[in-house]
Amino acid sequence: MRSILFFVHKELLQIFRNKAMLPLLFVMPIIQLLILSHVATNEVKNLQLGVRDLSHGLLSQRLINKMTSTGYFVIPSDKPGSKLARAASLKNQREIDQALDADQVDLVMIIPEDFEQNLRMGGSTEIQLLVNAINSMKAGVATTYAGSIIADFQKELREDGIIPSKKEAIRLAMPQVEIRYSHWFNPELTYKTFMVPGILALLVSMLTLLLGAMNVVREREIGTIEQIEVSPVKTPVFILGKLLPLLLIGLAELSLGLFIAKVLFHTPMEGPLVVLYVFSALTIVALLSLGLLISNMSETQQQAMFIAWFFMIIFVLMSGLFTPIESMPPWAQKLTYINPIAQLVSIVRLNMLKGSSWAELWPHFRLMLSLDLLYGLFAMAMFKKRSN
Amino acid sequence: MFTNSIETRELTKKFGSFTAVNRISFEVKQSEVFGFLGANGAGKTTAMRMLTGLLLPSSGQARVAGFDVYTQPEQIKRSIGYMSQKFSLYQDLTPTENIQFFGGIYGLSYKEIRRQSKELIGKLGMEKIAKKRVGDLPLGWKQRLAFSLALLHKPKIVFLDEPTSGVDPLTRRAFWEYIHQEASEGTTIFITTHYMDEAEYCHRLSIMVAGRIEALGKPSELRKEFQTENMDQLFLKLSQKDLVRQNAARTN
Repeated sequence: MRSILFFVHKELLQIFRNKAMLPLLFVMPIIQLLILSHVATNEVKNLQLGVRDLSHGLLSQRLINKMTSTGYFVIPSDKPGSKLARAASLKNQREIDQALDADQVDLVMIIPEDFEQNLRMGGSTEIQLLVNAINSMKAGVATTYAGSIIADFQKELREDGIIPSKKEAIRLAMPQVEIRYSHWFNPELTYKTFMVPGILALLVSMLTLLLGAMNVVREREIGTIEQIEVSPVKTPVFILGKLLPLLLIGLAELSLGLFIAKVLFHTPMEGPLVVLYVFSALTIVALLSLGLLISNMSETQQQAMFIAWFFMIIFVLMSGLFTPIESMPPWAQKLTYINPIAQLVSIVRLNMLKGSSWAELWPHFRLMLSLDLLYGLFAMAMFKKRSN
Repeated sequence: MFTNSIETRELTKKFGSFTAVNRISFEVKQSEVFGFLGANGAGKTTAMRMLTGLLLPSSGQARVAGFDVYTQPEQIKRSIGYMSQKFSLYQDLTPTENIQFFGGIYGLSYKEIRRQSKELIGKLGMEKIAKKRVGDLPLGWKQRLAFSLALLHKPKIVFLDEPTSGVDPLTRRAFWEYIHQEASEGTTIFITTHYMDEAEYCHRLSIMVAGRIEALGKPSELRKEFQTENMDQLFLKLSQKDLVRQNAARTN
């Protein structure tokens, strides 16, 4: 057991002597948090709006202005500075097709000739929206935004009395349900508040999985592993000796990330930090075990790197960081149970934003402990097998 | 009662249908410098892995430092030292840090490690470079340091796997002097080498060809037995015999 201390000491010496390591440990979290938290967002802005206005009226112009004034839509223009030019930007169907084909617009709004006339008469009218659905998520968001802006436009017209009062009377007579939202745990729905804790989890996970994967195989490449194998050191001592120093580094990385999140992003930290640390430690142990397992099955560092990336990509994309786990197919949702990164992402969010503590998170703790056991024993078994 | 450091009887290792080590039997006495020779792929490494407790034999018997290779690998590991051709030290650590680590995993006390490390650095004349990384040291220094580390826990037997490969002739000569020095103090040396001239430095030696021991004895006896002038010729003769046998097997 005492040998573990010598391993920890040796590993830490080696890690901090590695010139690439310190920048990696300190620069990586800052860059990742600073850049990713700004770009990793589901909020869609600056959608390119093409308009074919056949009505050429006041109301159609008002609708177009309303669309562009929200900031969600902009009208692309070949003449810079004439963004709010007369709205007949697309003259015919061919131009519409071209604009969509060339990816110049995300959305085309066609306002019919009798638009204003029909509205003023109190009749109904139709607006056609053509949506570029290459990116289905963006398309969905674009239609939702456009829909609610148009609904709002209608409401305004009624309030201004532009739509005849006969119609207004009917509207008032009808019971209306208006939905009011109250967003809990992230009242202003700021994406940064949501993303920073997730990215923090990702950061710690990526670092530890890679460090674990590169570790043993490096000793194999250099040949020092033979020297350990002929010594009386037992497998659990060896594995623990490798695991502990990397665990310490993972937790140091977490602390640095939390500090940046607090100082630069004012990310809320509602839950007890000790819960966050204990859960992170358990996750790191699972990832390190997996890393050591990969390392043990590889002949070269390059091989280990590729296998580690394979797992990393799957784990990260299925972690619920970018896309909600609830919208994955059921079999994929089940896979997140063995994905330590998915567990950590959700726990970090629950703990920091919602303030969840031991009691609420207990099922997650139980799951992560089983993952530790699963990956840890597997890593140990493979190491034994290899040395025989 | 064991007076021999190493004893094997019909020791065999098979990998599937391939017999890497074929019923080898030999003894190594205490304080002896025993050369374990053979071409690449003759089965030297496999035999050595069995003797160091890393690999279980398929059949036959072997005792190392009085311990059975099947049932007592842990005791064997505690009683032996090992140095490979790669001089497997941590290149990014200093000599002192290497001594500390290897001393630590063999269970030496902190006091003992400090004492040994001071003594070793002094003995090797490494005071000036004790704070340098091993990776920056010349090969000869690395080799001596690796050898000293293999002896750190005072093993009864040291296994040296091609410890002189890639080292210049002068350093090689010096290294053999350390080996004999160590043997005269009671340590048994089990050494493999590629250099046939080095075979002459061994008290006794064996030559493996295709998994078998084809020659075993003192260098002078072997020269007489096979009627050759030097070890080089002896080695060639044995290899040719093997080639003839292989060809015969193929034509049959």
